[in-house]
Amino acid sequence: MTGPLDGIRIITFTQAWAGTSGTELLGLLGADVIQIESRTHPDVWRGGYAGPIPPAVADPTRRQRRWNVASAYNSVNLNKRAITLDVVDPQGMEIFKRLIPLADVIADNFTPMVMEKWGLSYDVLRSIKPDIIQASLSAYGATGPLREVRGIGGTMEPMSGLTSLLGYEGGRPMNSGSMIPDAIAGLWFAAAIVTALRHRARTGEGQYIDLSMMESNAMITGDAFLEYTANGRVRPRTGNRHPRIAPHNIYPARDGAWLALSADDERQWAALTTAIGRPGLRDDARFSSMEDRKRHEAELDQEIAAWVCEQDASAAEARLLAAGVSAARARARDELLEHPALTERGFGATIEHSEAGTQHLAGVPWRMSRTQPEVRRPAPMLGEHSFEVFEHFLRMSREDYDRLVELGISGDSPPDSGRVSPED
Amino acid sequence: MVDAAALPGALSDVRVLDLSTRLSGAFCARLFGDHGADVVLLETPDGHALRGESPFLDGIAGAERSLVHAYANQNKRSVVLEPGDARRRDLVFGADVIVVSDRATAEEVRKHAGAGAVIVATTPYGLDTSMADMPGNDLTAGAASGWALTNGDEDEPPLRPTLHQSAYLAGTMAYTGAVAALVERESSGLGQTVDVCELEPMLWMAAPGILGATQGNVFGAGRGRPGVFTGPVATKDGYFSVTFSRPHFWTEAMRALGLDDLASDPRYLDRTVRQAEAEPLAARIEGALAERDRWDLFHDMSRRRCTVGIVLDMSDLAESEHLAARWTTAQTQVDERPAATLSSPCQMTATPWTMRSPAPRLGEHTDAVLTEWSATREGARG
Repeated sequence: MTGPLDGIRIITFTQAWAGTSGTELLGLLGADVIQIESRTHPDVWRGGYAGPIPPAVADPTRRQRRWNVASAYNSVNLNKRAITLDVVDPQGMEIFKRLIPLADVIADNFTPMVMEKWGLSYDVLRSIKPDIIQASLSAYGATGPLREVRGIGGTMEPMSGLTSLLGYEGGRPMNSGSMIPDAIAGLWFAAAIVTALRHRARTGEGQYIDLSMMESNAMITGDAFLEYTANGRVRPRTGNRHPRIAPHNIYPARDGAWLALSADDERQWAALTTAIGRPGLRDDARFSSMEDRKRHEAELDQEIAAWVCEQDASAAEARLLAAGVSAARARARDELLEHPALTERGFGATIEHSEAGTQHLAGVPWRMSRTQPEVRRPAPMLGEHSFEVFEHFLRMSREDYDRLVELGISGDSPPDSGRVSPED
Repeated sequence: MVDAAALPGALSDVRVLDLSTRLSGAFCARLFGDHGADVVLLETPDGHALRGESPFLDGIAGAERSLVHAYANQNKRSVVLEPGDARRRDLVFGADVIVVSDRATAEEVRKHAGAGAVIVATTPYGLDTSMADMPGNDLTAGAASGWALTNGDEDEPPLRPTLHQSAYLAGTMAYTGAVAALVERESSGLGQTVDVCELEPMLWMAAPGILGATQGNVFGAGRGRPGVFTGPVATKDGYFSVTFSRPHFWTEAMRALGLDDLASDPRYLDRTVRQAEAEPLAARIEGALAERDRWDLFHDMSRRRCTVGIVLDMSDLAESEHLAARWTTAQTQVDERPAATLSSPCQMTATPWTMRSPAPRLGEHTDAVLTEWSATREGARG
């Protein structure tokens, strides 16, 4: 047992990040996730066929192909198998249709027109496998006035309302620095699919899921949305401040690092004033209640900042946490997996990729007491499992597979001629 | 039009006991309710912590007036018991899923839950770590997860996530894991504990940046300076984002803005050339954008197959024809005042994900739930 979805099979056309991250979650939960790419349209996060191997990955002792060592692709496709199959070719489509009965879920993150264009509507899939779950993720969903509009993380973040809330007090709206809308949509995609799987397990009924990046990201703004519809107030950007809590900010420390801290209630406030050696602040009329502290937040920030700027951030973090105060040093990407709670939980994964080498990655975001999921395999290489899948599920011979490769319908490398258009 | 709320939910056979004290847990439990589960929010007479969370209806605090409570506790029933009331154990025993927010409650629940119960915990640092009892929130999750150091302007402090982001994401992650555990229970008949550390969903979402940091691939815009190449910029009536990640995005966007010389100059198809000349290019592009209306730009550029986005605020979302057409919004009530709320992130044909009932009033369902759930327990004993 390697996770609660052991025995579930997902066949997915997802590419880039949004749908890909959702199907990765299902793979981390134990499902057998098989990604379909084509040699003419490999996953765009493989970065295309042309160009050098990134120096940080280059290893002359290994066979390395650019499209198999892209860190973006390799970071979000754990626990998957990958096949190449050109479903635009009639022979490729025929092979795909033979795979459908073996799947519990068919997933994609195309614009809504693509699966229709390929003749792979839910009705068609269901005629082949009556209890199939089809899950489609697109920028705006398969219905509605914007259904044909394309979107990516950098445009869905503003369209979902998230950007309007991120930024400094009085400042312009900001997109996040890490294109988070894709991963948020992927998480909701996984949530919807497991829900459908549970329903099917109880009733035998499949269904069609139409998930929109815009809506799934908007869900993260739900209380701000209600603030407008109930109170008529458009929530302003407030930097690091909280509508109720003070102090609540990120302060510069002596060592050049930054320390986030807040005192979420009266107990934490008392603990904070003791920990920073300023118990007298509790008797200061400006700070005697949360409402008072909020009212005098700028002055309070000066008091806290004066203490933090004389501390090393890590030591201050430890001291405040031990005292029962919410605190955290702002960490950089290359040290995230070293957080003590995460190392104790075994969150970070170290895995060997046959072309990219040793990888340290974000791993499984759950601990489960009986069916603990785990990182079982690195992200797959292009077409790595084509023959394995075709042979096992379709009883395809090596000769027949080689013929598919010759025809460009499958394989593990760029097509022979100039048929590549990975940009679009 | 289908009345989604009239259809049975995917989880209509599931009973959930919400013992959460944090937003992450409350939101997780709400998602079960969105799919038709009978979710019981067990409260003390003081009420769930979210009832005291601002903002409030008309800015006036009250147990039924928190808008965070209204959003995260919809589709639930409320039961009030005094601390130590023995009937709490009956509720624990009768639940398929029990949501908790701290280690002590998880340990207590394990003693009284049925063998098939799924116990789902969302905490700042996980149930079983040396930091398990330490406090944390959205601000500290943003700092410890790397979010803060990848957001904001380079000459300003690091920036926290959008308020409550880590809690909503942890709640959704917990829901996903817990439903997966229910799928597995269909064959094993056994429950288990699903333990989500609120940091981990944030880090999972930073996965490309984490691996990229060790492999020489800087992922995302990171902290920087304002401008059209890094984020939204002003139009005549708002803010607008344009992306240039593919060559034709650049060409068509420049044509849409009337900057034909930039569109036709092949040098600018190369991202590195654009970066090298970012300042003068940005000045021209931003000048052109500032002359246009945002929706006019959106439709024009979308027709040209560019990927662009308007910075929509909550008033825009509330008035969005697109969201209305997809039934993303639904009517709820906050202290009996009607208000629109976000209902569903997607459409599911057989088991719609939907708004079923407003957040409950404190103790609104105490008698009904105690009667129904105790009857079930007596039946199980009999």
